[in-house]
Amino acid sequence: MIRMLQRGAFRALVGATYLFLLAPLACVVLVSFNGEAVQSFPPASWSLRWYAHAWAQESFRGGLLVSTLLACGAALIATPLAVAAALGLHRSRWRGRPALEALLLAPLVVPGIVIGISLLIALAALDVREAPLRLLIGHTVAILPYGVRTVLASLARLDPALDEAAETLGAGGWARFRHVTLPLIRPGILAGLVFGLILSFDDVSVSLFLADARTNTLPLAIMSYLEYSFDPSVAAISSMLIAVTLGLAVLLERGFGLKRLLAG
Amino acid sequence: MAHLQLDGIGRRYGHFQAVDSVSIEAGPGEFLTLLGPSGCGKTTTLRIVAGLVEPSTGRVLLDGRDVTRLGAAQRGIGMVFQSLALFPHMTVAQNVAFGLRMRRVAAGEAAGRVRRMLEVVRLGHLAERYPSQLSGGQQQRVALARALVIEPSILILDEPFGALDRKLREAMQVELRRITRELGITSLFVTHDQEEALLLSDLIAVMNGGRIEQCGTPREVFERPATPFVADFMGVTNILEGRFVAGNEAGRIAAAGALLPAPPGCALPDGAPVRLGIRPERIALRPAAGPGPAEGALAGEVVEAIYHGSNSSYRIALPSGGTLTAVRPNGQEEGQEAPLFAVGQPVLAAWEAGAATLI
Ligand SMILES: Nc1ncnc2c1ncn2[C@@H]1O[C@H](COP(=O)(O)OP(=O)(O)OP(=O)(O)O)[C@@H](O)[C@H]1O
Ligand SMILES: [Mg+2]
Repeated sequence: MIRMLQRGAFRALVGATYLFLLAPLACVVLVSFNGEAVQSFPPASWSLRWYAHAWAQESFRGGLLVSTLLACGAALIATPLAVAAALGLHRSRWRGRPALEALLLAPLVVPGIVIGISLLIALAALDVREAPLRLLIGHTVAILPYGVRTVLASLARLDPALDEAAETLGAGGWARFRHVTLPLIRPGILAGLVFGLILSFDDVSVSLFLADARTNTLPLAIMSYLEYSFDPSVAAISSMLIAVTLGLAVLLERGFGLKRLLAG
Repeated sequence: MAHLQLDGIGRRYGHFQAVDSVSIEAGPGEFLTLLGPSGCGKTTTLRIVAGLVEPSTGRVLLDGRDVTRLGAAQRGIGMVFQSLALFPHMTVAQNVAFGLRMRRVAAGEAAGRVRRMLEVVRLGHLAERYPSQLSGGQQQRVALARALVIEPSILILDEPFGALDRKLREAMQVELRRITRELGITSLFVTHDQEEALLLSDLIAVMNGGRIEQCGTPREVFERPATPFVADFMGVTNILEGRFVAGNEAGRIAAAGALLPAPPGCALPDGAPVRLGIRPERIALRPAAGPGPAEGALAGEVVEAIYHGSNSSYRIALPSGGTLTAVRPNGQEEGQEAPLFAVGQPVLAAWEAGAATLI
């Protein structure tokens, strides 16, 4: 009896937590189908007009294009770099290795805004002025640690004897990487890639300092739109972002077990 | 089939000498086993032979050719790892074919060789499975087939049966012996199990603290251990220190306050210090008739008696201070019930002259 009560209470707690996490998202999605001109909850009438309205916004369309290209570019550049860095780190017997690994975690704990400012100062010092290039460099640097971490996690699960077995069977360094290491860490690499895509697409704090009037990312476009108007088109664009992100997350989980990768 | 020779191999880790001037040799087709307790440097020696660890000193010779500076990929040695290290993303056939693929053997020929090797290890029917879908013994065979299909000059195995249960282990030992004899391949095997070493090997090198204590045939190592360590490792757990007493025929040995028969064929000067080793199962016990020692036997008192089923083990305290361990079979013996001894009972311990060895 008490056991049942306890179990019931636990279920209620879990349910409440999920509700708390997901309710705002559900809210946004509901509001996006609002037929009225102002955001109201629950909507008084239903329509898709705000999707059309959002799509008609030049700044949203431009932002979407910039963000998509940026996310793909940064993820594609960062991933091979992350693999190389993780391999080097994994193999090194160097005493400073734990310190370096901790340093790689820095972007996870340092506030994003600080990273944005640092990048701004560094890129200014390097005299990189073009916004697209600055954004690409900035995003690549910002997502790199996540990639390194996921790849490191899959490398740590690899039995070192596999590499040695391949070596005794006559495989050189490249063949061992190509036929043994790479296939076994591929899930980690792809997870890092998708992770990078999401993080870049979602980023505000880094882009804020590196974008300019002509090159704006979607999150920035949404923010500046919100300064002047508060109509449900923002909810519409947010709903689309939720759909895409959710799709990627499902892909990640189905394909490679997101939980396993994050636990590593 | 190759001739393997280690010449003064040593390996240091910092200040720690893991392997120390190891010189051993296995002729073509011979099965050489490194036997020793955990941490004595067996794996390190093996990895030096495979080319996975560089020795600090010494040379590795294959058929007289110095391969010490050659990388593992160039040595053409087949290795079975302790963890097996099967490639989890490849099927059994792909695992076995890997070495051939790396050697750019034509696909058709490779497929044939893989099939034949899988027949040898009796796994032909499981070629398309993944390692995770196999039992422990089957995985073992895949690892063996993968190492053998490249027709290695020598085969090396690092405690391959450590993870198996007793029955499977024995089956795999027999299997390994069949396969290595069938292919006539030179093998270097590592184990800490003396029975396994005795069963498989042509030659056994007993290692201790990075050094080889004795190298010889299983019979030599088992029957004439050269050092107290080897004796103890080979189950000669009773060692008596004493002096040789020259006299009629074989002579005697004065030890533990008694005059004991010397093993036949030892010609030593009178008074020479000797160590006498006796296996527990070779010691016969009988109740002491009266006080005082009997000729050629040690008097003592049972201080521990443990019943093991088919036999019993007794610890016997000697008046000179030491103890002896004797293991006696239980049950019927020559129509008579074998006597059981009780703690506190005075007994006489004796053995045939030939049962003891000088160490
Ligand atoms: N890379 C290394 N760095 C430092 N010490 C090492 C290294 N490899 C081995 N050793 C040490 O060398 C000694 C011998 O190790 P080795 O692995 O050869 O022992 P082993 O005989 O195979 O033992 P086991 O039966 O437990 O496998 C051990 O004391 C070990 O701690
Ligand atoms: Mg070992």
